[in-house]
Amino acid sequence: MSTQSPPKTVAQALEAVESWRSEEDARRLKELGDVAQEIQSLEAAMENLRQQLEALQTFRTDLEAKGTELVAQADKRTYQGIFEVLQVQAAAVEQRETEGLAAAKAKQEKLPDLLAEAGLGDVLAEYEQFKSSVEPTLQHLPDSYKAAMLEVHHGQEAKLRKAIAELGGTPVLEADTISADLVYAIDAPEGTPELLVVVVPVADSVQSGWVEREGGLQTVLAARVAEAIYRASADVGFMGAQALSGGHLGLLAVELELVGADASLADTLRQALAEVANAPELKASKVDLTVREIDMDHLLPPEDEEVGDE
Amino acid sequence: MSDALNALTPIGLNEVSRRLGVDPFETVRLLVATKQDLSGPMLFPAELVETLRDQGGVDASWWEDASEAEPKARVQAAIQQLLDRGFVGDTTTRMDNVWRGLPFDDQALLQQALTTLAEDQIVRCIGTPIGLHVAIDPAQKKAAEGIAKGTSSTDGLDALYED
Repeated sequence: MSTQSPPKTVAQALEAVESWRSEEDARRLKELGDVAQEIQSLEAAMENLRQQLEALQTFRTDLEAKGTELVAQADKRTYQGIFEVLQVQAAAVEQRETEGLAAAKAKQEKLPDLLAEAGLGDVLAEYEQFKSSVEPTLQHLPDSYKAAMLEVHHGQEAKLRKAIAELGGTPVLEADTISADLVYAIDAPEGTPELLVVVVPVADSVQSGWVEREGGLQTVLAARVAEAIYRASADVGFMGAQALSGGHLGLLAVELELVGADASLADTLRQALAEVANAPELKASKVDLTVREIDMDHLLPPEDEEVGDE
Repeated sequence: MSDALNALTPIGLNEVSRRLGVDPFETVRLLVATKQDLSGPMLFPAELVETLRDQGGVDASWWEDASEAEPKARVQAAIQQLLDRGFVGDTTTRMDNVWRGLPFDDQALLQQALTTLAEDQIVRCIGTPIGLHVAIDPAQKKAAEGIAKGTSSTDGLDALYED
């Protein structure tokens, strides 16, 4: 309740109204200022939130992109890891081949003595005498004499071959077992197998330079892969099979186009490649081979899908 | 070791391949196709080479003069060999018979030349259990004769000669 006494004149009444109006307007202006300040503060806060939101959206986009990149990086690291291991294994297989060839040579050099110890020294001497002295004269003999002599000769030859195969065969090395992996991938981008790629833990020169190479464990390991490919292809009647070899990071890579082959070829190849681990040469050389199917992206990265150095 | 003992000693895959004049992988294909027992170590009696040669259709080198030749001349001569030997249509020959005995570069050249001619359907490449075979396509015999005489060529061959 107002304590002011009511105006007694019109002038006082007008003055009172003016005073009230001034006070109300001053209050209004003050509140308007407060609201403006509050709006400014909220706008600043909103701008801040907007900037935070933008930053978070950018971060989210980066993280999403990183997911794809991570997959690509993981593929690349897997690929690098696989090939680094295979290169180390290939060096060990090469060393094992050298040891195997030396052992085979030593065994061959002992062969005449071993044959003699087996009681076949005389048989060998007769065989050599026949080849050097008798065989050149056979043409002058009557057929019946010739047939009789050849029958004896072939008998001696069979005895010697059997003994040589037993005494001079692939030597079993006295060495620690080494591990190696044979990796392969079957590419089927549309669901149907299109390409087989096998990487063999041997140097690519084993195939590219075969003419000058003596042979040995590396050659045989590569050959067992070819055997698996051609055996599996023959089993499903894929006559157009053509294994192509080349180098990939210094290792031997073998490719086989599967387009046009029976759908069962992929599984038949898997079984045949698994059999490579049981090759007798690997057992003799003390190589424990693991045959492993891997993703094509881990064998040939997408940007490098060709077998190089063909 | 004596010669006689050497002759009785089994030989390895590379030696079999050298005697045949065939790449080791192709030798393996022949071993599989002729149903050789591969359950033991890959060591073979020397006599097997002749068996594989016969059953695999492996010819002795076609080239009396294997010395260096210009790429175009070599390709012309190879196509002429196929024509002269009658490898047209269903009468085919092993593809590697075409280049056996030649220097390595010429072997690669002829392999590429036959591949490009197959793409142009002038020669046919046929997969067989004993290896890839080749013959002139009978419908393209005239074109092949033109290539052999040097009066015609293909874009693929021209690109090959430029490399």
